[in-house]
Amino acid sequence: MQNVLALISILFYALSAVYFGVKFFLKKDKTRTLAFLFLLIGFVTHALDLLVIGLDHHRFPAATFTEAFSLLTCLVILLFILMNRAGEMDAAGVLLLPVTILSVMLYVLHHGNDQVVEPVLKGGWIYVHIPLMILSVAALSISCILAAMYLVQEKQLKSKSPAFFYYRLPSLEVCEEWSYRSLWFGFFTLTFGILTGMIWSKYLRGVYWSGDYKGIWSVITWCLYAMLLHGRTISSWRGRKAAYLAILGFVFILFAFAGVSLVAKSYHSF
Amino acid sequence: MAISLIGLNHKTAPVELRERLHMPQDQIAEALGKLLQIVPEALIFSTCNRVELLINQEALEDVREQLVLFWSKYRNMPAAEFEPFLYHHAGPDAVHHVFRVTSSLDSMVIGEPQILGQMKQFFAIAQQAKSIGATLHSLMERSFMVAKKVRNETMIAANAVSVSSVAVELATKIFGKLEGRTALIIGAGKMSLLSIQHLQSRGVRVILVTNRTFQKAAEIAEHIKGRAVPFENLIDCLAESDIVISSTGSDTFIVRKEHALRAMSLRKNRPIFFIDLAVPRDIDPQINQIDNTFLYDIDDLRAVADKNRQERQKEAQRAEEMVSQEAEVFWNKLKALDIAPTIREIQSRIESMRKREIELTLKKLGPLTAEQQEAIEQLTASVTDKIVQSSFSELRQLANQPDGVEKISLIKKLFRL
Repeated sequence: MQNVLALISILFYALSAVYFGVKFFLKKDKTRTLAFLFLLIGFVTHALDLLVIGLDHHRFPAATFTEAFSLLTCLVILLFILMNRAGEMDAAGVLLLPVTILSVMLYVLHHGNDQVVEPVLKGGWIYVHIPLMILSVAALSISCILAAMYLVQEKQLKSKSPAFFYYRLPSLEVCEEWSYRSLWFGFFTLTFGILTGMIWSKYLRGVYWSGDYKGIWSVITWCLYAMLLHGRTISSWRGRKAAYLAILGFVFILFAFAGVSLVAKSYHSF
Repeated sequence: MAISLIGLNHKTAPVELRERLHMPQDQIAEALGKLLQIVPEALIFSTCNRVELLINQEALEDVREQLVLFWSKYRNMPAAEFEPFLYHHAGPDAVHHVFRVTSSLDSMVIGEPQILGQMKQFFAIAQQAKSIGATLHSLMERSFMVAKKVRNETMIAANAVSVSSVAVELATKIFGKLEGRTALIIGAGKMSLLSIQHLQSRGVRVILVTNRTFQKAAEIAEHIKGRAVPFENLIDCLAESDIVISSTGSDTFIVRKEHALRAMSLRKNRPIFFIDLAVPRDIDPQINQIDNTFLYDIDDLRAVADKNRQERQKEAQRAEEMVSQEAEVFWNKLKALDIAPTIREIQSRIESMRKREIELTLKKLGPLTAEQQEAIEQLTASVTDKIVQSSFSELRQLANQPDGVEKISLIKKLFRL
């Protein structure tokens, strides 16, 4: 059942990826409604796939790397669908969809060697903490992609000789505005994610702060984003500076999300 | 069926001549009326870049001479004055030419969108004047479809190719939608007014106008429904504006880097798009180095326009291939629908049958008087004529039906043609 759902979602993601690819490379835009429907079907089956995994194993479907990766891309697609109803950010689809397809494929190929899930990853606050954290990573990834698109488009405009990307990427305003919005959203979810994590920690072992690597990195990243948002609001950091920081922040959060676990094994893997 | 087109355009004739031959739209119907006296189907295209007559007729031998004569009489001009500039396309070439014109491949600026609308108007005028029959009707309808296809499937009309439209295109790449944005013009040349019009049509709401002499600024402001601002308030104006267009006659920079830096800090780094249309330049080129400001001078805009034009040229080649293919397909269809040759063949086939039968009969009957022979001749001829005549009018109608091609080929089979 899981595999069937996963394969269906790969199929529909791939179909909509064809649309985004054709629009981006050949600049032909004809079947948007259909492509959007495919994307929606891909997303729904992807989400159902994760739900089935969760029900089968009686746990939140984020216990292994492939599960967490698949959940992350699923949420990224959800945000992409919500934010991109007008089609302004279709160019981002060219990058998002292949990564999403890859994540589902990885899961299909690797879910056999499930590790034993530690009991701490079941029940209670975990059902709030993990989704919030992954949702925030999803929002911050979108923010990062848009920031990168901003930088490329800005370079095209400054160079005064518009080329390939000038014609294909959205306007600076679209990139910046949506990057900023998803940044705020990511920051809020990150904040609440960290708070619920602390509550969970208190409930589980009696301390709010156990000082593990993942926790520390998350807080460092939180501080970085807080600084960026503060700078943007108070000292009007805009444009390139803000874009570079959004990308830097994403590198940090990616490390907190996945990298730390490679360095130091702990219960707090994903 | 003999489609023919005669005319001149911006490539073959100088503008003075085109002006003299040009027919205003309200006179076309009348001209068509006169043209119908010599041909059964006619259309006239008359824009500032071309004047063309498109006709469909079978009888005329010397189409070109007849049309030239008509034209010189109608315009009261000796034929010698315009004849050397004329081109004449017949049959498949005429179809191809019409397709190229409607698809905007024969335009001065390839891919410009007006020509399709203009051609539709000429078509409507001809329809009203009842000057076109089934053939030209289907030719024109087909050409509109081809034009649409070319527009959708190639990029010949995709990017801006004039300086002012490039400026607008760049502005949308920076600001997204232009609704509610503010623009400032410093000084006012023709080009900056044109750009402002463009921007206004795209939703730019507030236009500030400033000039060394306030009086001048006020005049321009009134003209474009903007607000005049004293020149001393330049920095405040900059801080307020998203788009700045400058075209003064000044020898030194009007907007210097420090102006822009102060304006940027006042507007909390929200982007400004500077457009410098003046020569010598009005805006310090170093401004482009400031974050969130974008500066294009007239040469930069021209370079972008040229680049876009090259892109169009590349696409134009693809479009040409499409149009040639479509023209060929359409011509073959017309040819298949053309029943005149079929009718002639049927006629000659029946006639030869009749002759052979008479010969055989005369042999059997032995010698007859001249009168008797004449009677047999008349009898048989009138029988075959009646059969042929009544079926031909049906045949013509059949040819105009959607499945005309199949029906005609069936009839050809019937007569073993």
